[in-house]
Amino acid sequence: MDKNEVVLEVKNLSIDIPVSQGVLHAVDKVNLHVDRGEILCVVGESGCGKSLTSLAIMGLLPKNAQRSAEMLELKQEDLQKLTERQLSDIRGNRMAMIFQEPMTSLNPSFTIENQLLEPLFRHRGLSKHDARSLVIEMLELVGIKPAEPRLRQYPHQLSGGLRQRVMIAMSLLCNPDLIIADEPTTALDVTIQAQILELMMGLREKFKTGILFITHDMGVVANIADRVAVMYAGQIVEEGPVAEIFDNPAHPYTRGLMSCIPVPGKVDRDSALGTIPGMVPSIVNEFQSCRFAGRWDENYEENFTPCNLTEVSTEKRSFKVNSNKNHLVHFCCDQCLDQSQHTLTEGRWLCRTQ
Amino acid sequence: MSDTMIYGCDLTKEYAISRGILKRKEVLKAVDGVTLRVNKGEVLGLVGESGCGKTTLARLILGMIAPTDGSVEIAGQDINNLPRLERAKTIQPIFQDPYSSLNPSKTIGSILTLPLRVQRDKERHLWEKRVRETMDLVGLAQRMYNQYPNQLSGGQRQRVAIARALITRPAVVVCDEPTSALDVSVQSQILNLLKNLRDELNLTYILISHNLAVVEHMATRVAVMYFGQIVEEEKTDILFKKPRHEYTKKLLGSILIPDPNKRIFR
Ligand SMILES: Nc1ncnc2c1ncn2[C@@H]1O[C@H](COP(=O)(O)OP(=O)(O)OP(=O)(O)O)[C@@H](O)[C@H]1O
Ligand SMILES: Nc1ncnc2c1ncn2[C@@H]1O[C@H](COP(=O)(O)OP(=O)(O)OP(=O)(O)O)[C@@H](O)[C@H]1O
Ligand SMILES: [Mg+2]
Ligand SMILES: [Mg+2]
Repeated sequence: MDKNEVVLEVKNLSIDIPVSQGVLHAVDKVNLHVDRGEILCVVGESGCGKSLTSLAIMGLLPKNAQRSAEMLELKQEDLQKLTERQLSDIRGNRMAMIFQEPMTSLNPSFTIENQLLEPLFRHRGLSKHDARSLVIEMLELVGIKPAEPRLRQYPHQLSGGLRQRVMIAMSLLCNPDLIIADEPTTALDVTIQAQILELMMGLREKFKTGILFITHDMGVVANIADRVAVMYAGQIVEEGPVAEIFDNPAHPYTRGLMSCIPVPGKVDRDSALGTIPGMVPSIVNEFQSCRFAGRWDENYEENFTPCNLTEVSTEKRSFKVNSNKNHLVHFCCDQCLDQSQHTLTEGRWLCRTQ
Repeated sequence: MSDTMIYGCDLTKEYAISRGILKRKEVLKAVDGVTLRVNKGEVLGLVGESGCGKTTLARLILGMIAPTDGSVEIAGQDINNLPRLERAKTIQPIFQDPYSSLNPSKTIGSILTLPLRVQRDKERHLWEKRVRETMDLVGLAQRMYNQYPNQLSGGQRQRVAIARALITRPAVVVCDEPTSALDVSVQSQILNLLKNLRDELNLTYILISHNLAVVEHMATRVAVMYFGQIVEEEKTDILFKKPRHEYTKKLLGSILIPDPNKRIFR
């Protein structure tokens, strides 16, 4: 692919955090890329490392966390080489982040107006008058109408969804190349959610913005994603075009995820909702056993047809699914692969289905 | 009625918002004349546009803010006459924004022990065991007992907030977006837990959520709020089948189906 088309490229990103019991390998050799005008949705179990991955890209990890990466590039510019000062010129300008919890990034002691004008003064050098009208326009675009009276309010005077929209407006102000959105619509009702998603889809159409969108809402994923990356216990276990991931999930975690989505209008009130049994493993210190141990549900296999896998890398147990070069699955161990009942065409494992 | 657990009568909450120096303040009616009744064992789903006053209504019912007008009764008693300890035993919140509701300087273990301490629970030697059991119930790893809120992921913090509300088994739980930060599997786990607790202990819930699939699954009755007022209130299945108010219709029409073949955006 043309290099100029890639907005974000991450290779072998790992994040280690010392905790009392040892070292937490929160993110383990993650590869991902976002192209111009593309929406990559990242889904995964709570605590699997999605937010840390995005903080690592932004250069905003907690102090005790250690980041290592073979490659971390925004439009071919190496983010690892930048000084803190250069980084802060890029943040909010060429790449912007919508944080999972707005209160962690909005400053409680400044008004909405002050916080929204600041990036425009800083990165765009606009006059107060121009900046202010741009801010009002942006707030109205995210559905805060009338916007003017909100400018003088403080974050704690806003509802959860208003705060989230202020953050979204802030991230869009400078027309960044890359937007990282960490569950940006969780506090919004579905009508406003639809409005915001439409706005974001419009922006990527118009400005070819690349969007890395973290969400738990599979309805959102199905509606906006071009590609999906599925994370589990610090690793990306499956990635591919959105239709592929929904139709032919290959990894047991993806399959589990698909089988517990509550579909509006289809949930039986008296039955329990589907879950993935067990708990994500603690990835503290060296991790030996299977990351998916104890989490198998026989039903997954009944509900999904086995895929045909072609080996891409032996060392990483990575496979191409059904000969689609864009649909990749990665298993943590032979046991996981074995239990999934897939057929292997090339590679070191024998064909399992007779 | 004797088994009314929550009765909010004609509740109104006004906020003054500044229009700039020297100008008169504008009044914003966050909650505007809401009357609602929730009976024992019911799950009232509360849905509505962002900013329509759901959280404000929840805070009024919890007695955390005083209404401009109207009154709240919990289990037949005016909330102002309920001593704080008694109130905490009866009604507990799970807040929308777990980050700002968890004390950053306390470990998860001590955050979860606090409700037991406050209620002067007699069996002190069992406190840690109960905390650890509750952590299991909501799917928090035991290693988090000694960690601080800022060392947890968004969904893990939300589960701390849930565990804290449930540990003393209150009769009424007011849940403001309890599962919005959770993946579908953990969300199901928590919702199943809330449901089981209700079946076993006959708990009463008010459930505020933007996730209509969750509301449909959990609620026995749904109230739709719009600009500070309740505009429609109905049994869950009826509301989902025959929405009457325009906003409710719009709401149901904006649900995103988890199927890439049924996209609503072009
Ligand atoms: N400062 C920290 N110190 C120790 N552990 C941390 C710290 N920050 C995060 N973690 C741990 O790292 C793991 C990954 O956290 P992260 O916030 O990236 O999860 P997430 O995938 O965003 O989850 P969620 O969907 O719940 O937001 C979690 O298990 C979390 O407890
Ligand atoms: N302390 C306050 N001072 C001024 N205005 C406030 C205050 N608290 C809430 N409001 C306003 O009251 C209105 C209702 O807010 P509330 O938090 O109840 O909404 P909500 O329905 O919970 O919305 P969301 O779904 O976005 O969380 C909003 O316009 C909000 O800005
Ligand atoms: Mg997160
Ligand atoms: Mg709210």
